[in-house]
Amino acid sequence: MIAAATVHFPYMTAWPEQAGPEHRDATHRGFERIGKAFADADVETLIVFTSEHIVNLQPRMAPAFIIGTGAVHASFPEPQFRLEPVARPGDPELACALVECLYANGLDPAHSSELQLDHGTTLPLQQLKVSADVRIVPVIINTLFPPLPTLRRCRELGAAVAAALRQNGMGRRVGMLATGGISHAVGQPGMDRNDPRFDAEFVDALVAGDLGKACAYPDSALDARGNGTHEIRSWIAAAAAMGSSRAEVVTAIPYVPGWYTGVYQMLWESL
Amino acid sequence: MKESVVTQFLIDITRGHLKEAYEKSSEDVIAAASLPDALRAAVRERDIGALWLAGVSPMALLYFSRAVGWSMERYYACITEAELRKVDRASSVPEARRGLPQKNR
Repeated sequence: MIAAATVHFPYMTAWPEQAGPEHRDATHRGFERIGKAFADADVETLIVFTSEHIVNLQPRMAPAFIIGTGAVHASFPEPQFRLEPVARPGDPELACALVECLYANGLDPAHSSELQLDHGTTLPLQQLKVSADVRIVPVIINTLFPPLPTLRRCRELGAAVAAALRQNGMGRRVGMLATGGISHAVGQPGMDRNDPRFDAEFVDALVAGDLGKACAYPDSALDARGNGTHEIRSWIAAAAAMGSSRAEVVTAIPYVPGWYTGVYQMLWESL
Repeated sequence: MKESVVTQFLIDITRGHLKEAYEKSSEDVIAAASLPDALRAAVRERDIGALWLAGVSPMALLYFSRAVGWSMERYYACITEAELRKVDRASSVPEARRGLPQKNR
């Protein structure tokens, strides 16, 4: 099994020139490295733990988790971020099996056959150059409209997804991708900075496999570092899914002037 | 929660089922909405600062400001100013009575 995590802030595609060449190149090398790892593993289906930006989730309907069971996932048009509006194939069979397995094991995600993917998912897929025939199973985590699922519950989700795949992976070669975070603000004061110390501490906890520490932040601590920081839920889910696998930090740039945040990317590979 | 109602309304008019109708006649759509009067006025007057202080979702508010033609700079300047006003107000309240910042996520 293989999994990766990456930030997905749209500055890197919308305004790449705002970052210095060394930061831009390091970010691209990180995407290349992870993309190659997925390609080398011959991943057929990619489960994407992701957050989104008011495309599927709204106050009138904001489940903690939604699993995309559609045969095709349309992309939400975001030409301002220079993202191609590429529809991605889904894996309804595996997605439904996943939902059934999670239900049987005490987790109750919502499911939807008509999710639209925004830059939270499409940007990493584009940057990783994930082949158009790789099937995508999005697992959207509500990081937008409180009450949000607890970090502990996201950990349980990741572990349960891994268990479900072991139980009934339908013979697929499955990879996992977490996208979002780490500390940042969207639409709030402070959108021009992250908290490098928090980011490093969080990544260190994941590398050490210390999910107790990674899940110990109260929501108020995440709020204080910007609303986008709630997206660490995706990283926690992927880390929990990969258990004691070898974790590696692919990219760690504390702050990129011009992109106004840090760049972090991780890779987990089963021993 | 009234901030959820306004957040939902802003989503509906910027990227939801009321988008076209709002673009055609914003006044009709605002008048027909189930909003508290003060917040209806804030939407009508594009008073981003008041909506911020009411606890509307920052992302929904950002989309609204873009839809009405505001630049990012103008938006961030406005909410920063509103936030400072909020802090000023809070500092005149005894510490024990201040709540945790659950809004504006």
